[in-house]
Amino acid sequence: MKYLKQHLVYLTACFFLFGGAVATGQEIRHPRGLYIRAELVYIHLFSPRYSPLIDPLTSIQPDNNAVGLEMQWQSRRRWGVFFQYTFIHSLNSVRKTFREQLQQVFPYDYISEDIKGIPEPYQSSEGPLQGLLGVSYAFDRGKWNVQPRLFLGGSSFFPLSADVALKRVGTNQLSKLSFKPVNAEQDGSVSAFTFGAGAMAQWHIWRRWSLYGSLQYSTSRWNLQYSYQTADQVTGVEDIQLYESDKRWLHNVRAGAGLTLRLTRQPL
Amino acid sequence: MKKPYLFPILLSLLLTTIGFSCPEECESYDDVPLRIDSISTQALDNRADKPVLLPSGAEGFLNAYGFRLFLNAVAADSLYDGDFCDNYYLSPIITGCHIYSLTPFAGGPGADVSALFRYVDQSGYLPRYTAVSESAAQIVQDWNFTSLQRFDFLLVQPPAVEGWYQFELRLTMQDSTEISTVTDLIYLK
Repeated sequence: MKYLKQHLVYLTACFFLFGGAVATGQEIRHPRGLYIRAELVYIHLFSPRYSPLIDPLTSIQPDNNAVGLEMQWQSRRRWGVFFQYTFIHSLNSVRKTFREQLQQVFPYDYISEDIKGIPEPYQSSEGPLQGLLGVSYAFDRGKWNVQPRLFLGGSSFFPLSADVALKRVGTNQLSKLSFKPVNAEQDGSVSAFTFGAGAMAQWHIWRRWSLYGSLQYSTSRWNLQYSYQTADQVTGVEDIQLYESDKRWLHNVRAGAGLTLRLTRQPL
Repeated sequence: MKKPYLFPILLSLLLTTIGFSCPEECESYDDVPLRIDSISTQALDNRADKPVLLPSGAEGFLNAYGFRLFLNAVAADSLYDGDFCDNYYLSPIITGCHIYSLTPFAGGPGADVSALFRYVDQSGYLPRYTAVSESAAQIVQDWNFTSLQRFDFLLVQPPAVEGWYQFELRLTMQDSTEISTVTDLIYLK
């Protein structure tokens, strides 16, 4: 509830901010046509962490950088449709967080520093992705253009999947712990439906170029199942358990800035 | 703008220079036979995350005892001085490995206690325990001419009572000869 209130405050602020810029168009600097955009984005996750035995979202940290690409068709009647694609680069040290979580679950074991399956640092190419399809409504005033937006689509990321050695403190006991998501795609990724709202303000600078800033809120709901297998190296006994993560909404707010290029040469 | 291709050409040259540096390669490989020259052991304390060598005379711990086997090999040809490109292999190879108790323990002195130990296979990404009987196949792999080879054996089913313990490790070679080493007498508590 606390988080919901935070988001509502953000959204309200956005609408007040951009609502002030609404006016009848004096000179259309962002006319009907096809636009492409590229932006640098900061994304913050507001969701409380999941609480299964091992948090499957460890591979997504609260603070992330991202690169956003967008293509938009702007109609003459102010409505527009757009497709937005975001490559998220986690700024994290996954192994450290993961080992800390494991240490809470296995307080009597040493956890191997080498964790198979978790590259360090976590590669951006294996980071989360977000693809959104949305509608916008444009308000123009001089060089300014403001667009409240609604969108839906999907998000995907690679939840942790790893093999770890657990060495019991004070003894020669050794176990191998393997855990992986069981309802993931073949490549190990999982995805979820995502929707949200936001706003964008752009300022015409020269010919077909504009600068813009954006603020968006989106949320997605994840359902992850984990298999959790321990193999005792001394006795050879294997134990497999299945865990289902909490079904929670993962909220995020993103702020970005970038460049707009109108692809259509002449205003249509 | 008068020379639009100049930049891509320069960039290509730079990337080519960086990306295509040739690594040092061996043109031929020789297989060089090695024979075991020396064998020794030292006790391990495995209470922490990794085994630590115990100094001679130190007490050990029943639940975390093990020993490290040191093997040194030399070339069968005494004039051979090593080559980066050569492959090394043991000759004769080790075909069997057993651990015996020299003190009263699990069947009395002289009993084969191999089943109570595990060999720590470090060849994979994670350490893995294998039976001592299977360790011979691991020991013969990846020999190096210059460095001492180390192999860890851990006691996973310790005796119930503390006391003095001593073990003997015997390696059976392909030609039916045996090489053995005796661990230091150690007090396990």
